[in-house]
Amino acid sequence: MNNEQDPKSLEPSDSSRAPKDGVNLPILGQVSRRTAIKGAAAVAGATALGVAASPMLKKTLEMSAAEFMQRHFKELTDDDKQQIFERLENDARQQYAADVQIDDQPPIPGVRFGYAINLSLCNGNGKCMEACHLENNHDRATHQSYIRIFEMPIGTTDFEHGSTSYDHEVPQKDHYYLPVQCFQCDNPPCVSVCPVEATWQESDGIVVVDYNWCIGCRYCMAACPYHARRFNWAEPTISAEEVNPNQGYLSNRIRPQGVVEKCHFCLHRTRLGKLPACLEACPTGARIFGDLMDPDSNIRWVLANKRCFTIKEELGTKPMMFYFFD
Amino acid sequence: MEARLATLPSMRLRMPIAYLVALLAMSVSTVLSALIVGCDRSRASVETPTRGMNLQQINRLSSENPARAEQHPIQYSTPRTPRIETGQLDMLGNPITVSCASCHSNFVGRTPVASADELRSFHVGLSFQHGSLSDPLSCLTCHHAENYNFLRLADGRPLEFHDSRRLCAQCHAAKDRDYEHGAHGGMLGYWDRTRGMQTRKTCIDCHDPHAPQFPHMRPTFKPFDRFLESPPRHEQH
Repeated sequence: MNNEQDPKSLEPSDSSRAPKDGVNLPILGQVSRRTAIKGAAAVAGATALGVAASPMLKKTLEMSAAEFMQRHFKELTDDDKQQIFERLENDARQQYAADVQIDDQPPIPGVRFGYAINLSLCNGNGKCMEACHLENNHDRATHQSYIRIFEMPIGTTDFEHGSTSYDHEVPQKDHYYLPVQCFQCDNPPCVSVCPVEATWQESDGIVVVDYNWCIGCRYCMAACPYHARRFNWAEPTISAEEVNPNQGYLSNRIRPQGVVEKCHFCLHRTRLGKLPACLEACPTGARIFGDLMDPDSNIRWVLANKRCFTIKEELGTKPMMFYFFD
Repeated sequence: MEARLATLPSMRLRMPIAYLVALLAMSVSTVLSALIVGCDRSRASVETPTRGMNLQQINRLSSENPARAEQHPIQYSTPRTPRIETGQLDMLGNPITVSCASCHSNFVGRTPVASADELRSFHVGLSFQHGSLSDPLSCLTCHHAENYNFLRLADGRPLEFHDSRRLCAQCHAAKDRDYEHGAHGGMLGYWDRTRGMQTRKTCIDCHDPHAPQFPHMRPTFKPFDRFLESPPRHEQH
C-alpha cells in the first residue's frame, strides 16, 4: 500500500516542522527568500566558474595518465621518447585519421644554422608561406604559417609602415618585400622568459618548443620582438590526406590546443641535411640556407660578400636570419 | 604589567621560529620543484660552439674538422637544343617540330632583323625585351649566324644550347658568381651535399632569354590573422 501513497501527502507534515512563531531558522526544508537568493547566486556562480573552467576540465579529462606523467624532454630516455612518439602517433590516428611517423632528430654536432634572404629578389609572392603551411601541418582554417611577408615602402625597415595583408600584383613600385619568421636568435628573449623551460635553444642554434610541456602562458610571444610565435587558440583542423606524415616531436607534428608554436628551420628536414621547405618553394631564389661553421657554405659566402643586416639589431637578440640587397 | 612582560620573551622567540619554519618550507619547496621541473641539461649543456668566437676562430675550428666526406655532385638543369613547331600535326596527332637549322641554313647572310616586330612567317609575336636602347641586341648577338643549332659567344665561337649559362654570364657576371655560390637561382634537395644531391635550375628556367625580366606575380596564399582585420572606425568628434 505504501507504493500507492501520494508523495505530496508528506508535504504537510514537512512544513509542519516550521516554527509557528514566524522566526526563520536554518532548518532543512524551510527555505527563506534570503537563503533562496543566496543559493541561486551560489549556483549561478558555480555554473559560471564551471563554464569558464570547462576547457581546462575537458583538457584534463582528455589527458591520459601517461601524458600527465610525462617528464621534461631533456630528461627523457630513448625508450621514454619511443613510447611518447607511439602515443602521439596513436592520437593522430584517432583524432585526424592519419598515419604519421613522429621522430626526434638531434642536432648535427658542429653545425650552426644560418639563413639569409635576398630582398632584391623577394617579390612577396607568398609561396614560402604556403610551403610552410603544408610542410608543418598548420591549421587549415586560419591558413596558419610561420612566415609573414611585409610589403614595405622603400627607405625604412620600420614594421609600422609595412603591411602583411596586401592582395594585389607583386612587386609594387617603390616597395620591397620583407619575409619574417623565427630568426633563431643566439640570445633568445623568448627562452629566458619561459617559466617552465618549455622552449630552449639547441646546439645548432634552433630554438625549439616542447608542445607537451608548454602551459600556454604566452610570455614568449610577448617577449619576441619579431612576432615570430603563434598561439593555437583552437584545436588545429587538417584533413587526413593533407597531413604531412613525416613529423618531428619538436617541429611539425600537429600541435595541441593552447600551446605556442614557431618556426624551427624545418629541423625534421634540415637535421637530415635537406633544405627547408620555404627555401625549396621560393620561385625567386631569394633564400640561402646553410651551416655557419662550414667556411665553404653558401651562407658563409653571402655573409662575407653581401652587405647583410639583421632586424632590430639594437635589441641584442643576435638573429641568425640575415637580410641583404644587391 | 607583569603578565605583559611574561608574554614578551615568548613572542620574541616565537617570531624567529616562524620565520625559520617559513624559510625552511621555502627552501624545501624550491629543492623539490627543482627536482621535479629541473632537468639534466644534457641537451642544453652542449654550448653553442660559435658563441663568443670571432670569424677567425670559427674558421680555425671548422678547418680543424676531419677530412670531409665525399660530396654528392650538384645536378644542374641543362636546356635542350630548341625545336620549332611548324603548326602541323603528324599521324598520331603530335605537333611536327623542326630544328632551327632546317630553315635557317637557307638564310645565311640575310640582314638580321632589328626588332621582333619585323618577323612575318615564323616567331611571330615573339616578345623581345632584352638589353637597352644604348646597348641594342639583335638575334645574332646570341644566335650563331652560321649554324642556328648553336648559340654564339661574344668572340664568335659557337656554344651548345645546354651550356647557355656561359652565354648569359658574359654580361651578367656578378649574377653568375652569386649563382655559383648558391645566392641566386634557388635550389632543391640537400644543403649538406655529403648526405644527398642538390638540384639547381639554370638561367632560362626562370628568365625568358628574349624577355628576361622576372614576371610579376599574384599572391595565392594569405594567412588569416585576427589583427589584420581592419580596426573599427571611430567617428571624429
